[in-house]
Amino acid sequence: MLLKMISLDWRSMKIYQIRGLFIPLYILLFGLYMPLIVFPMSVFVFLSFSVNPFAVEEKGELNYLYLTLPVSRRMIVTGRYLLSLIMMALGFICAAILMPIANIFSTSKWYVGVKGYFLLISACYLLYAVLNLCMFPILFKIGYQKGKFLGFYFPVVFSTILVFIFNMISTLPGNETLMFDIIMWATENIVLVGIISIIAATLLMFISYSLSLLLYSKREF
Amino acid sequence: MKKGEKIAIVGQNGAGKTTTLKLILNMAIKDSGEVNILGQSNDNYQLKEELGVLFDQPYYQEDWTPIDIDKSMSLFYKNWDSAMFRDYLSRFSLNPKQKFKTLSRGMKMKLGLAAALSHDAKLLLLDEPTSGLDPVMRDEILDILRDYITAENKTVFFSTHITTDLERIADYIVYIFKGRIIYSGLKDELLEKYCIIRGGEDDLLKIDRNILIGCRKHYGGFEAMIDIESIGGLPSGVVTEKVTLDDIMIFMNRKGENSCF
Repeated sequence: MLLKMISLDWRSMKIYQIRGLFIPLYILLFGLYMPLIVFPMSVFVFLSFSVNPFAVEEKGELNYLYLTLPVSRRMIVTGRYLLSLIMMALGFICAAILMPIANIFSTSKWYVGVKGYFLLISACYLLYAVLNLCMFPILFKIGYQKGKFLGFYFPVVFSTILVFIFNMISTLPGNETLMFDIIMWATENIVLVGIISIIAATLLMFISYSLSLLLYSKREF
Repeated sequence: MKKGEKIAIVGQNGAGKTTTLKLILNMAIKDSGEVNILGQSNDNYQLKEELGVLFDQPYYQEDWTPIDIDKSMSLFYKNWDSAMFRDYLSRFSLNPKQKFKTLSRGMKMKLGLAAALSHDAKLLLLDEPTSGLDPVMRDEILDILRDYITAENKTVFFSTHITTDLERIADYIVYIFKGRIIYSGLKDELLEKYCIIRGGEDDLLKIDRNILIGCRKHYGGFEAMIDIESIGGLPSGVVTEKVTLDDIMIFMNRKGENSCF
């Protein structure tokens, strides 16, 4: 039944499917400027693409269709998350193909190696999870029009606060080289940083999914 | 409800008709109580396999064609009958390749009806299926519905505030007023339960005001609705008339206003 829900969400994005074919080209253009950006860019664009079911759902009031079908609200939420995860995987595959191509033509060359790819993927997964947590529960609760603003607004505010706090801490006496030390430590422990990122991202995804289930199960139409 | 019954839930706008249907479908969250459909709790989402639902408009992705709807719905309903759906499309003169957004309101309703009738639903739930349609389209939709429920002996539960629809389809009526059930029973018995009385201003003074269910004063006289059991002892100048469903709704709404006194 979950596959059917994914299929229905995919079909509901009919109008966006052709546009989706242009995503790799769009990512490649950015990659020509800096190949390293291909991975985060790809994940971000595919995540944004996976939000489209919310847009068409609101425009066509498709909740009135979904809730008359023999599916539970849990299945609707789970299907939407699985579609989003598939999109993320597509984002990784797309990036893995495009990054070497971009590397050939770009003046800025990057040779990240196997560990570097692992770190890129795990860091992008974390980025995806943070954005997902900020967007999906809100979209399930209040819909696309209101939710998309808040969903993009929260990460910006959150990251601004984080940068502000980090700057505050790094200006304290004795912390002058904090940023440098962190970068050095991460460089020496790439695999560990990757694993921590994956664990943190999975935890955030679980929180996001649970929150969405809770909010959508109480939503009235 | 029993199998084969045609029940209409009636009441003015805001009375609670659509909310009732949404509660049945678990689209609205109930404060308390239980909702049972076909002998089972409506918490069992698989029950929706047995329901054919049509709101005051069908809800599909605007770029979908009837072919897309056929493919999408066949994923979810075990008894989905594509041949039947295409047969309905043909009967309703709907182009299978025409986008949903380009259909007129009447055509959209026909498409929604085709989908609701194509998976052998045991119970049809219809929320004001004819509201907003012109008389010709309304007549056509009601004919389709009547033919289907009569031929297949289907159970139908539908809401409306268009009383002429009731005469075409309903056997039973649930009359809701301000969220409360005022009457639940045979349609004809409801019409026999009340009557309209008309008389002059002098007659009004001789009538016990407590028996009046809504009253309207006009130049030289009044009209009101009363329970048929209160008909005895009315002044001789007062005339009685059969009540219509429209009258019941109008006078129920005026109940308690005492605008005649």
